[in-house]
Formats: sequence, C-alpha cells, structure tokens
Amino acid sequence: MELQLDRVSKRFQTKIAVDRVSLSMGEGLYGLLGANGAGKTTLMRMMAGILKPDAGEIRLGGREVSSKAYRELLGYLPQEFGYYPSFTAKDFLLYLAALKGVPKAKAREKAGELLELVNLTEYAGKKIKTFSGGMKQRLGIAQALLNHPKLLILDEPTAGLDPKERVKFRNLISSLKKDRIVLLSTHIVSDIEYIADEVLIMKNGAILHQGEPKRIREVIEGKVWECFLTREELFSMEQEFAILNLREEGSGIFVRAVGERCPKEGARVVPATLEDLYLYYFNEQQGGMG
Amino acid sequence: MKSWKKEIKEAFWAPPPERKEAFLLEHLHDETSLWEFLLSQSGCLSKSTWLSLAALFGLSLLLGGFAADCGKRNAVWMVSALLPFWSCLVTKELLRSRRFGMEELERSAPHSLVEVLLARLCFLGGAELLGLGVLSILLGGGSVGVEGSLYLLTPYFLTAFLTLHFLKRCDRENELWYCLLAGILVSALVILGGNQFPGIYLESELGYWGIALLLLLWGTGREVWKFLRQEGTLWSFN
Repeated sequence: MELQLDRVSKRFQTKIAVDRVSLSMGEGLYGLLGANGAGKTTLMRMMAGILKPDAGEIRLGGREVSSKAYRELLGYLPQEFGYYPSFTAKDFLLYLAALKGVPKAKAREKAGELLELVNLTEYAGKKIKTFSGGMKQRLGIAQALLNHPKLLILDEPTAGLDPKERVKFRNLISSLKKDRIVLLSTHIVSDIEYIADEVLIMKNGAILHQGEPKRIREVIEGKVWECFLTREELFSMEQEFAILNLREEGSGIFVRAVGERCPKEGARVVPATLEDLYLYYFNEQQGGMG
Repeated sequence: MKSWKKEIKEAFWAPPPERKEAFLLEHLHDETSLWEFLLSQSGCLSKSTWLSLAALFGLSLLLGGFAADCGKRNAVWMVSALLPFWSCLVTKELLRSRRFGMEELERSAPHSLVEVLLARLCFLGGAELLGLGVLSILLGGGSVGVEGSLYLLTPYFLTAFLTLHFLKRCDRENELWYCLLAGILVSALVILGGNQFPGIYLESELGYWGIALLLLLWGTGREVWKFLRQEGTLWSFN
C-alpha cells in the first residue's frame, strides 16, 4: 500500500504553507525534518484529512483523503491534543475507539493491549489531567493505534519530552513501522537520525530532499569543518558559515561549522551528520548566523 | 474412481495461506453501525449539561405552576423566558470539542467530528424538545397545544440562531460568554414583551408567531449547517 501526494498545495492568505508537494511513500518509517514554520504540520493535517488542500490529491492505496475509507486506515497523533476533563486513560481510548468504529467488546481488549504497549496499564483508571507530558504523549500514540492503521502520522510526538523519554519514544515508534507507513515530523534531528528509513527535509513549504539518511548527507559531504579560532575570526566566520558547535578551549575556541569553503588554514574536513545538513539548509535561509 | 479423486486433489492442491493476518488487517475493518455509534455518543454528553437541563426543567415547572395563578398565558411567557438557557446548553455541547482540544482527533476519525456534533445535537436537542413537549402539556393541562408550543419554541430557536451567528464573529476564548449573553438578551426580550406588551400573546397574533418561528427554524438550520461545515471541513458525509 502506498501513500501518494500529487502536487499538494496550501496557502493561508499571503503565505504559501505547502508548495506543490509530490511524494510517494511505501511501508517504512519516514522522518519529516524542518524548522518551525516550514509547513510540516500543515502537510500532516492535510494527510490526516482534517485540512483541505487548495490543490493536488492525496491517496492511500487508491483511497482519496476525504473518504471514510481513508480515515479507517489512518492513525493520527496531532502536535497538541486535548481531552475531556472527566476522562481517564481508558475512557479516552474507549471514546476514540467508538469514533474509529471499533466494536465495544473489542475496544476494551484493544485498549488494555495498547495501555500495556505504552506502559500505562497501572494508570488506566487515572484521570488524564494528572498525567505528565510524556505519559500524555504515550497515551496519544496508543489512541493512534486503536484501529490497526496502515498509515500512522505523528506530528512532533517528542516535543516537550525529556531526553530519556525521547529515547523511549523513539524505540516505541521504531517498533511500529512493520507493515505500515509511519510519518514522523520533528525539528529535532536525533529523533529520526537512527530510526528513519527515509528522511524528508522540508523548507518554505517544499520538500528539498528525500532519501536515506546516509545518502542525503552526501549533499554536504566535504563541507563540514573543524578548527580553532580566535574570537574575532569567529565573529567574521558567523556571517558565512553555519556554526554547529562552539567550545572554549584554552586560548582558542573550537568550532565545528558547515560552509562552502575552508574557513581557515589548518581547518580539517570531518564526516557530515544529519544535524549538520539540517543546520546547513536552515542557515542558508537566514543568510548566515545572526 | 478413488485414484482419480486422489490425482485431482494432488493436481489442484492449494498451498496453505500466508500472511493471513496481515491481509485481514488490511482489508477487513471493524465496523460499528451508526446506531452503535450514536449509543456510544449518548454517554459522552457531559453530566453537568444533563444536570443543568434537569434543573432548568424543574425550575420551568415550578415557575409555570406559580405563574398559572396569574393565568395560563402569563405562565407560558414566564416559562418561555427560561428557554433561551435551554438552547445555550446545546450550543455549549456543540463547542465542547473545540473547548477541550479534541477537534483534530475527532476530525481524523472515520466517524468524524461532524457525526459527533450531529449526535450531540440529536440527543440533547431531542431531549430538550421532549422536555418542551412535556412542559407544554403540564402547563396547559393538555390544552396548550400549538399555541403554547409557538410561545415556547420561538425564544428557543431565536437563541439558537443568535448564538450560532455570534460564534462566527467572536474569539474562541469568549465563545461561551457570548452564548450566555445571547440567552440573557432573548430572555430579557421575552420578559419585556410579556410585561409591557401582553397583547403579543393574544390569539389574533398567532400568525405572526408562526411566521417568526418558521423563519427562525430556517435561519437556525442554515446556521447549524454552516457551523458543521466549518467545524468538520465538510467534504462529504461519507
């Protein structure tokens, strides 16, 4: 089963949020990487069928995005979601199971299984308002899986989580990609660097790159430098290079930067990472640091 | 004969199924009927709304009984001053998804937000109309009928129309306050009318009430449609 987007666009007044995006995704885990305002959430809302594109088509296995048949295959975790105040974790799952067309008896069984999957079994009867951010996100993942979705869309699921919770989440998400399409958006590179089968980099509403993490890093291979600088050299370098890492060491400043040319005699080229690529693209937009 | 059977069986031997579970998950989906879905929604209306409705119903009965001493027509307009608040309860439930941030999850489900809102409208609206019917009968001793219904339903639907109209124009933070304001305004209008212009409750004016109610029914229906369209990014009802 494939998810196909054909020249999908969305504009809000004068701003083009998504600009003629065409994609084809089979089973696997896709990381959608972009800065705030790149258009990730807008694109995901259109794929979740809750925002209508101004142009283009979205289909999952031939099913059109506005159809009920599409939503039957969809699991969606929004960037922010709420809950009715009286809901416990179990109530929340049962309510959403009813909306997803899961029969009551099966819903109880499924809710129990999913609470166990996300380690919330002992909190099943507790009100959601007592949950921490990480617990709430795990509950969000659980509801997205209620109807055995073939397409799982997770919009910044790790936002607000501490590093330990983020690692747990990554491992959980990675385990979900079997026999389904999982699309995960984030502006935190480490969320997807090790688990994504493919990475899509989004900027100004368009997909700049799509490919395996190893392959798309090739764009900046040979452009990542490490060197020691003085404060004055650093100041002038910031205008032209994306500074990735700074560390005061002795009389100098150790710098890791991305740029087209060698910043200084003695600087050495180092292997590029996905984070280097991300900063390279988004530093270009700003015309250098500062 | 036996050897033929054996040979045919061997010639047309079918391999055992593979990835059966994956196939079933892909092609067969759990389905609840519309009726099961509606029943599941009936338990989701907030308890405070039902309690408020019960309280309003009780208060309407008490007020109606008290005011009946002043005459049947007076009882009806006094009770109808409470009906705008019945209408506000429906709007409160329609706004629940927005108020508590459940919209996106409900919109993305097969039984979408539009169906959820319609279910709420049907249950609570239906319960309220039933309550109004009972109230009409109890207040008029079974004889209020069409006349009493007109006097009760007109402020009810006037409030519904105004609240839905306000919702398009006000900011989300203050939605409920605007709804309450609409209820208070209509209630004040009813009290003013009953007190200062008792002539509007004469039988000779029933035609105007009928026209007003029809217009309000049409207007409210239109506003409900627009609201559902806006809330559900309605593309189709499937």
